[in-house]
Amino acid sequence: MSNKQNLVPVPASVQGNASAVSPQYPPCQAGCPINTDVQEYVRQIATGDYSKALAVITEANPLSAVCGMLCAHPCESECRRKDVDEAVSIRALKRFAVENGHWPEVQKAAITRPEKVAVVGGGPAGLMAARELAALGFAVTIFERTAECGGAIANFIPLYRLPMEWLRKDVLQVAARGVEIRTGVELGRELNLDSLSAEYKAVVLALGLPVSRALPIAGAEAKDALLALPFLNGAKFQGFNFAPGRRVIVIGGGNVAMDVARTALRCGAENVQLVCLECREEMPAFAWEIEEALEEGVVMYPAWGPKRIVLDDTGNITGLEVQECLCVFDEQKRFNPKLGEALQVLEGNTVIFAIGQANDNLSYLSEFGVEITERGLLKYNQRTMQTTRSGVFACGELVFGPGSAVKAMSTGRKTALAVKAYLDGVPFDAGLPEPFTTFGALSPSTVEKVKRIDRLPVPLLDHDTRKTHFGHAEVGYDERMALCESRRCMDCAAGAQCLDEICAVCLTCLRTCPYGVPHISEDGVFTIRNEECQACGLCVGICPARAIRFRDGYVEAALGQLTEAVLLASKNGPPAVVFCCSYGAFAEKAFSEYLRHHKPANLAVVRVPCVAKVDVERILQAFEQGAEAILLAGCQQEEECTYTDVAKWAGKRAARAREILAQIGLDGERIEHLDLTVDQVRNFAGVADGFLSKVENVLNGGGGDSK
Amino acid sequence: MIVGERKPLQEILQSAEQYEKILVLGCGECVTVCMAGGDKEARETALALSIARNRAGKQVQVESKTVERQCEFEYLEATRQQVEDADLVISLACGVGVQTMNMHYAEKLTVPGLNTTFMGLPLRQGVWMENCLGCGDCVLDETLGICPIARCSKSMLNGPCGGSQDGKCEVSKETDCGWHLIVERMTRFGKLDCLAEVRPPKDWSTSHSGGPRKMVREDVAL
Repeated sequence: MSNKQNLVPVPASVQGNASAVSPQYPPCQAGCPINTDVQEYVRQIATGDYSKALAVITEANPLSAVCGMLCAHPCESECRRKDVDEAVSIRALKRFAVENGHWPEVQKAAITRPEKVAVVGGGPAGLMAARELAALGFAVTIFERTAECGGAIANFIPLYRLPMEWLRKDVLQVAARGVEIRTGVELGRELNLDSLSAEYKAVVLALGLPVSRALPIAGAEAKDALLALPFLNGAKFQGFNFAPGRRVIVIGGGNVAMDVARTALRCGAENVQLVCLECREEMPAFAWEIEEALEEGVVMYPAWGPKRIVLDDTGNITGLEVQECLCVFDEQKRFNPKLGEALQVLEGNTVIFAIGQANDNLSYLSEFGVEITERGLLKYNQRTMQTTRSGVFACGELVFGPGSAVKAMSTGRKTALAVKAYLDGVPFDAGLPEPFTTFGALSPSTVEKVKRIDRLPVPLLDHDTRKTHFGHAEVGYDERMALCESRRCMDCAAGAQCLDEICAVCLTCLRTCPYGVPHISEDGVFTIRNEECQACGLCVGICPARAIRFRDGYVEAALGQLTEAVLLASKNGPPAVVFCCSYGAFAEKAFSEYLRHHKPANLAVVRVPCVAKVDVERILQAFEQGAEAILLAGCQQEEECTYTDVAKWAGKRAARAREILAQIGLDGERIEHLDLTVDQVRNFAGVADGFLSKVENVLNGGGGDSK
Repeated sequence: MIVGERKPLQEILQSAEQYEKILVLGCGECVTVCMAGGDKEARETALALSIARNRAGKQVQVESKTVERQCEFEYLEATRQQVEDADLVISLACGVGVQTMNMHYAEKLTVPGLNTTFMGLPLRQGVWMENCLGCGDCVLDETLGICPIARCSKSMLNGPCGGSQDGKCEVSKETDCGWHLIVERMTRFGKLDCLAEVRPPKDWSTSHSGGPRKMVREDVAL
């Protein structure tokens, strides 16, 4: 899928149990807990191939659609674009690919192993573990106690954040890969470990944290003191609605608390207040969740701790007494709230606890050799990923604590490898260093030179509208927005790499690079700092020694289409070649449509990631392969183009190639360079006609070819 | 470094006219650095040859290769197979490289595809300037680092001449008068009066005027 020449593909490096010395990956990929090749799919979006983008995503992620809608996106926290302006809006781009790409036809994995494996729990960790095990050749069955897979995502994530059809689409894909899914069966009821072990050689427990916690404060037993998860589930599946006049106080400052508060609004609460110990900056919920909740009208009281629920004589809630919280964590960063003197009562008649989750009562496991700690947690070996019963593994939030879906999936993936090692009878150590190493921040001198391009906010429904229903709140990017946003990716380390054995150290690249990537150290040593490169390719096209290559093969792959394109075109008349940009308007569906249905048959179109990457040699190669004329179709420096000087250099290349043609007696008119506006690209037929009639004139002897 | 520029392709085509199997041989040193005869130019030249000959309906088989340094026999050895397979080698090295090829592969004809222009430096990207003639007896100490031999159109040792106007040479308005620069610099260093010193005539026998030069170093000779 990826063109990375020098990078180890994901499955190989992971299967090696992380022991091999690894190359460096872009920070987004290293930062993604399941190491999705973010750079590749963002590039595919930027160049208009949404299906390929989606294929890259689904290859790594069994919950691609889900993650497109709501991933916690640690990739964005790592994105080096944030050093320049703001991180690329990766999650929203993933959603765009999910909604606009063709979903790949998945193949049922071949069963190559005699052992069967059971996965208990169909949440993110379980789905990932099962998919990976199936890919490793095992027959895998997921046992899910509810009616459908997805875990917390299915049961508790509100519909305004994730319409169920997307989760179902993901789950169907997992099943299509050969994972058997049995719903409505629960460990401890219909199943026990002994019966499972009789059929399955390994069992993976991915039970999640499905139990809401409450606080032991006065009034907590009141009828209208509710728990987050049952509330969310009721709102999602049982059409729960508040009776008129319910004033809701949510306790908690995390993402679940935000879900509860926003769901309460949609369930008809008269008003919603939220109280949490943490100050606004320390609230564990994502900043955007807090923002969206505030926009919808949730009133927040950060840095207040619940003291008691105030009841009237009949036992009905009238409010929540809260006490000022001075700080939540002590000097050792342990949870140890320090409360102040101030008290106040928030008025309300419903309280919902959203202060955290716990695992189910697991005591039913202890009689089967799975030890449970005094605190009711699973005894677990972090290195072998096993419980105290041999062959019984665990993953996800159950053993790693509360976290994102993508984090849970990463533990599922690793557990699959642990299971395989166990069944192979070889040791496994999950504690070994991760193979996905990355490089440091962009240097300040590069940051200074990179063009600033604002991150495009992801459109949401207007807050007054969205808070009245459970329809998807986020509208998402349209094509134009996705193309602009994806262009913001800086292609970290995908670009220029110097082949030292060929390099003549002529310093041409150093003088040409707009970003100062080639560099002479204080000791006088020349290097091309690959990790600083912005992948514009100007150095590659000008290097007289041909000593600079892209680390990632995408440019070569694009240019490599030339031969076949010319061959095909030449069957339909004198072939003419268009080298055009593949970004911006050239990436729009309209242009692909033109190429597919309206392009003259003798026109060979080669889309390249910026025409400045077409050098003189490539232009001559086209002629050598039979082309009669060349059009270099670049774009007028649009707002979203991240490169500098590309039109200038494309123009120089065209001029040099014309000079060479003239020297061998061919008319320079055979090479044209145009920088097209967005409108011209959208009406490319006109441009192509103009070019082809000029070519015809040259071929009919109207040009300056010497006889 | 040695600066050169590729010969016009018409000329190269003419040299190659009688030959069917052609090797275009670049050099990885000076001519790569001055962007005239490195691997990039070698491949472009080979493609141009191939396009021209094919369009003329004449058979040709053109290959290209670049060696580390064409003026070293050992590096040339690494390309023996391609040289032997070819009917003609077009060298994009300087004149030194072309001759080294003809010496090393005496049975094979190597013709120049590049004009060796001068010894000089890139003033800025795309602009090269001559500043040494290799006279074999450097006088830069006397002229404070500006060469009268290379930078004066007449290689005078007692300039400027009457053709120097507004700091430019009469040969071309684009050319600085070397002696004007020398006088300016010596004035800035307060050493103008040094020019009044009477010096013996320059010994030109160390230059090419003394015939083809050769140098022997016994301490390193094998």
